[in-house]
Amino acid sequence: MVHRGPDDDGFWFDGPVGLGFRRLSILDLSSGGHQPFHSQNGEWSVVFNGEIYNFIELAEILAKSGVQLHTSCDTEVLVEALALWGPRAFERFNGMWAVLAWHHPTQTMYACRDPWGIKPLFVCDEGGWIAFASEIRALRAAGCKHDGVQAETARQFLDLGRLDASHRTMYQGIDRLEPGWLYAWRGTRPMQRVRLADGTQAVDVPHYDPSPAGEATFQEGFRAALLNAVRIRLRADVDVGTCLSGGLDSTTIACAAARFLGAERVKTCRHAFTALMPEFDETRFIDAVIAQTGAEWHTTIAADDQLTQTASAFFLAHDEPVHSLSPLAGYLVMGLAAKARVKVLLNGQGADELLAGYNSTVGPFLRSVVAQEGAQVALAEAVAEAGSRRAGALLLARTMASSLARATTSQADVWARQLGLPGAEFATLSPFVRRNGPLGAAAVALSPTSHSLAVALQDQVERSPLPLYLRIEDANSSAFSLESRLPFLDPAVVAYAHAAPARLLRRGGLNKYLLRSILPGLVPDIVARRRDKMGFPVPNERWLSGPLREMVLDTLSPDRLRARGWYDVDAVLTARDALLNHTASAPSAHLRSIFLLERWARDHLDASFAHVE
Amino acid sequence: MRSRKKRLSVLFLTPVFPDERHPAAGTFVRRHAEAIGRFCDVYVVHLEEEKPERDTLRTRIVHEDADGFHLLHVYYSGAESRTGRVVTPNILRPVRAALEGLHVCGADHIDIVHGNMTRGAGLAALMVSRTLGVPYVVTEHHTGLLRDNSPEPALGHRALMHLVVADAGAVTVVSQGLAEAMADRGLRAKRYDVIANVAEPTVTPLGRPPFDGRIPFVHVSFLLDVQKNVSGLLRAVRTVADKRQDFRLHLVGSGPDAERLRAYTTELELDDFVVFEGLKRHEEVLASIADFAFLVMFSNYETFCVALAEAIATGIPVISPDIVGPQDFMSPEVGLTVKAGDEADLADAIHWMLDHYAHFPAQQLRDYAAERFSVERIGKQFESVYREVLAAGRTSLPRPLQAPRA
Repeated sequence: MVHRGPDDDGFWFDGPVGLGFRRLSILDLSSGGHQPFHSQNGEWSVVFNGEIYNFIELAEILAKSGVQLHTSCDTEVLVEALALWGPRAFERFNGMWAVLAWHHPTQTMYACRDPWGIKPLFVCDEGGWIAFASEIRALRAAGCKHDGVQAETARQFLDLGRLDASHRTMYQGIDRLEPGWLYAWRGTRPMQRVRLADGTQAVDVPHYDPSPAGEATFQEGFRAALLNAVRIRLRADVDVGTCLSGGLDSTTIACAAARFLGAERVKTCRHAFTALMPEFDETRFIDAVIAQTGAEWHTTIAADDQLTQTASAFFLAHDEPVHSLSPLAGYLVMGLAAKARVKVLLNGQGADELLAGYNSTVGPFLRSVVAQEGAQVALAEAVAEAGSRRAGALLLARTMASSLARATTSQADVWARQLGLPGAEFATLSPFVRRNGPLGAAAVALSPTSHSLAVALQDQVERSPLPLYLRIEDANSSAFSLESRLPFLDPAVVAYAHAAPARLLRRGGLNKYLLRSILPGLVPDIVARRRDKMGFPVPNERWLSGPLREMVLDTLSPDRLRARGWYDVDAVLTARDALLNHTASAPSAHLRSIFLLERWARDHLDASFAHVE
Repeated sequence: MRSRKKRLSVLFLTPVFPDERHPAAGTFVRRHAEAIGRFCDVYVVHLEEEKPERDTLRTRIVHEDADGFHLLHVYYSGAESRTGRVVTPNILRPVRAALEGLHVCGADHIDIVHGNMTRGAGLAALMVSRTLGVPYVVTEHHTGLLRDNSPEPALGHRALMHLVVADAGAVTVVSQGLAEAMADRGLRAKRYDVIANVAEPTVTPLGRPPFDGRIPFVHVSFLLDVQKNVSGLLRAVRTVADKRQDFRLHLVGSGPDAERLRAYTTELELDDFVVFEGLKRHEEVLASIADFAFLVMFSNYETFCVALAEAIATGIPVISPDIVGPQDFMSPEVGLTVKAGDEADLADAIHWMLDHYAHFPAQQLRDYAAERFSVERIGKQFESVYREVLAAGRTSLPRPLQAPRA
């Protein structure tokens, strides 16, 4: 765990409880921020991973209540807030956190993660004792046993590509605490928990008025919220940088960060980091951003001759499987930032999920427009999305028909299960999973149905893919002792996104319309006008069949696959060879998932973690 | 940023409301009216059937002075029809009464109609809203709607509920579980909004009195054992009494099972540990609740459980079952949650709480309640729902009220 906090460590034991901490010093670099931290009244002892960005404002409120603070660290603010307001203090925080807080008078252990789950916290209940940690390997090193792979989680990954969609990890017996809940353990009593307010309720978002003036008011409010989110995320006593891919999200953050110079506790953001992919040249967009912001641009390239080594380290850094090789680009960026001695990076996670950035939202969007504004407006939007009148009409018709079909299939699936019809459990089975193996026998993962844009976005934020991306972001950054901060996951920004009607999120064939509407004057025109960027693209197929060929052959070797017992080995080998010999037009997502799952099983599930730092 | 607009005029229709004859009935509805009255002009029309001594169809209207809202009791006749006379069908009597009340309630216009209980004033709200050309919302509190708790209503009533719920601009319920139970019954609303009952933090001095001798804790309920599971609570107390004798449980309330529970207390040899306080007025209960170390509930089902909220608002911790209703607001910092029906778990919780009740800071409990159940909070939530419904659902201009008929 040293990589998570190389600057300090601390331990504290009292009767039935012990707290340990590795510190990454970001605010107040003195020993004042040493953890475990104890409240002045002696009632609370806390370990806290994360940042409370509104700590300055909270400190003022605490001071008015007579609390005298002795450090300039957000940890002290958090602890004294708990002492003053109790565990509901979490509802006042704007930030990211995983906290364990021991309340001495009631001998209660409270645990809490931020509302979106940016900071991880895992738990393992061993019967006589319970352990918590920021990483699964730490729990395993502490002696927590697991009972092998969590078959339902693996099945959901292989069938639907969904990871981190629930409290279940890939390990049986090790769970993640759900974001935004307050958990409590008291002696031998059963765990008790309650959902906390996420802070969006306290944001005064104006009712959306569809008139041009009303829309402008809404957009201006969103702009102010986003700029403020960036501003408070620049609060640090160490160097701050931004990830810069050339897309809308990272560019918006980089340009917004460049506007805040010299504000209270704000660190000037002078560095931007990019992983360049020869296949996807983004430099003309990034050049424009660098010219506008004056930031120092650092770049790295995923060199083919080092890719195996990099990928091996990358896979080891992730306690659970990743969904593709795309996060490798983020991993390289984090390594680059660490070399430049930057400790805090701003990144754009959450924007796509909150603001309808994915193409998968087109269907739900059109359904919502039909419901909210009628078929005529929906047809116009469909035409804009599809590019022609005929294609638009077809798209809309297909969308409405698929809505009906999905509802019917979903219900039929439920009935089939209720009736115990044979074969129903294999309806969504990955073609590479052995039917009578441990994964094939696991509960079926139901494909989610998203009838409206709001429901689809809620699913993306709460279940998939955002929780996975946040887990990857945390693992990538902590592997290099960095902190990643995510302005789009600010309560005010989220509140605006939730309040926006469908046609403010997509419009005229443009995704993230609300974000685009505030960009003129904020980011370079060349970026504001672009329509093509989506995510961090990496050449998955070329990497797997080229520089990572040996790793694929080794990971998906017949002996290993048979020993695992999870797969239909012949089917996997056929697909593998087709990929490596370029006889398949594109790598099957199912095959890639098998590779990533098996790689994880080798690196983590099979490994002993007694050697962990 | 939210622009402040003129106060809305709300016609608040309810089949239950405290009056001279039933001063304890519908206290929670009155609290909602008081809360809404902070932000809107509220015209409460209490619609209640009465059986007149003589067979008359005349409606009796009683004005009552109320603090913060206008209050009208409309007692409509429940007389049976007689051959040769045209009478209003039973189902439409509250509608007729609501229209009569509307014209004498003193409002010069109504922006929105608010009906309480889908089967009580729901149809009246729908019909009056149609008459006025304004939207309506419905609030549901009925425990009978909770799944597996009661038989399905008759077909006619079911159809009526579906109509009222589907047509409402919003349906407000006191707990998430109730909303889910209604949805499970196929009651599809345009939107469900969870708005809790009111439990205003009290102004009694903070700090619990020192307890001489035994630690007193309290249970407050309508003693209906099938719902409140008081017998289960007594058995748990018996288990605790076998381990320690430094406590006393006070049972406040009355109900159909009161006598049986007294006998059961004796049978369990708990007479020295349990005190039956009997029925008390709501104000008395609120005034005395801070004299106890904590409150315990062990209900099998609730839609909300006001007693828990009021105890927290008073500043004492609580023990609650993990059931729909309390699940919405029970938090580790305000007390313990026990598995419903698990008497061993309850006994363990009581035992724990007897040792730790003093460590729940009263002010934090009150602050907690203020953020969730205060008049201010609840009133704002209702006003917000009204404005959103008005913004989303107005299809025609509101019609002016006709002049009251002579």
